[in-house]
Amino acid sequence: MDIKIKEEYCKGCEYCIEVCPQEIFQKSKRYNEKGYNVPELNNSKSCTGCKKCELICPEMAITISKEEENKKK
Amino acid sequence: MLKPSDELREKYLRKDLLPSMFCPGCSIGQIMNYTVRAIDDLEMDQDKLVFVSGIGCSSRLPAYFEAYGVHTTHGRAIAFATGIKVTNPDLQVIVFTGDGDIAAIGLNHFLQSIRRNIDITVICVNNETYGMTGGQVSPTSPMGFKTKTTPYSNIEHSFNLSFLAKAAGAVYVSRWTTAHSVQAIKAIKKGIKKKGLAFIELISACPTSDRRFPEPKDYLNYFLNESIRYKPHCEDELSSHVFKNLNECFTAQDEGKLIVGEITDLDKPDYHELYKELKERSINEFWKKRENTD
Repeated sequence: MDIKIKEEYCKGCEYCIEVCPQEIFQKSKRYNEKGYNVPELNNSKSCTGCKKCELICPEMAITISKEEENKKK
Repeated sequence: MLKPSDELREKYLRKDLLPSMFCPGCSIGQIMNYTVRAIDDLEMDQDKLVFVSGIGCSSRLPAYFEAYGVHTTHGRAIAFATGIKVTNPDLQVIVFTGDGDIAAIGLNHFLQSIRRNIDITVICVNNETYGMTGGQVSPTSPMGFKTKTTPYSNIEHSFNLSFLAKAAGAVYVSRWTTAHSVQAIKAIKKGIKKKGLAFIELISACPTSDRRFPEPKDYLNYFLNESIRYKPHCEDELSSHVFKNLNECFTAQDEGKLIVGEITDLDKPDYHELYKELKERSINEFWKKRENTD
């Protein structure tokens, strides 16, 4: 699975960290241009593609797609 | 299968306004996400879609959609939506309101539109406080709730908007929290498809004004842990809050919990249908009378 976070939209609410059953999202020390704490990916290979994070994200900043689909394009 | 966010964002949202003005962790963004997905699943025509809103944080939502939007006066969103739907029934009208909008100043409009059964979808962002003005007590704030204007806890009984809508006779009522993503999307889809007034109440978090929990993520856990599914038929005769007289019974341990689920789903002729019928009938009768007098 391919996980993309649009960092300029992120507001650091940590919903994705809370909701992920595989604990892929992690708190980081990085900040985006607006000063919000952006999550980072940890062990993204274990993603099962349940899309809980994509649904819960208030800014629609997370996109999860199958890697094969991207290659086709 | 869920569509990827960036594709939907590209199609349905105004990119120049993103990221939205909502606070970090605000549930209104999530409701935007759910509504976009519901519209996409139904393959609706964006040129025939109108979003109407009143005043409040939630009423900023129509600005973000690539569709028609009307930002109206406080509490009158449903009144404006009624006008839009009655004059042009081809349009699909979706109303976004907050609890201050619909339960306080606009409660009468809400009940009257349910009585008329206008074919609109009302999505209520119920954060149980007046979020935009700093967290004052609202008609849906639970009893014993500490807000800016009730620092020693709220002594008023609260409204349960979904049960109010059910009692008034709404055709479709659904109540979820914003943590129930899939159910909320399904409810919005069903509400849009339903003929007549569909009311979808989404209990949401206000991490800025309502300081019940220090972090936005605590709201998520609270919603998931403290919610119970609605049971239409239950034998224990005990009711919490206001639904004593509505024959809604809940067991003792469920008192004070968030009641979620699909509350009503029935069929009734909507206003437009009856109006069309009336128009034809009255014209026929008029000409008959004319002929007789001639």
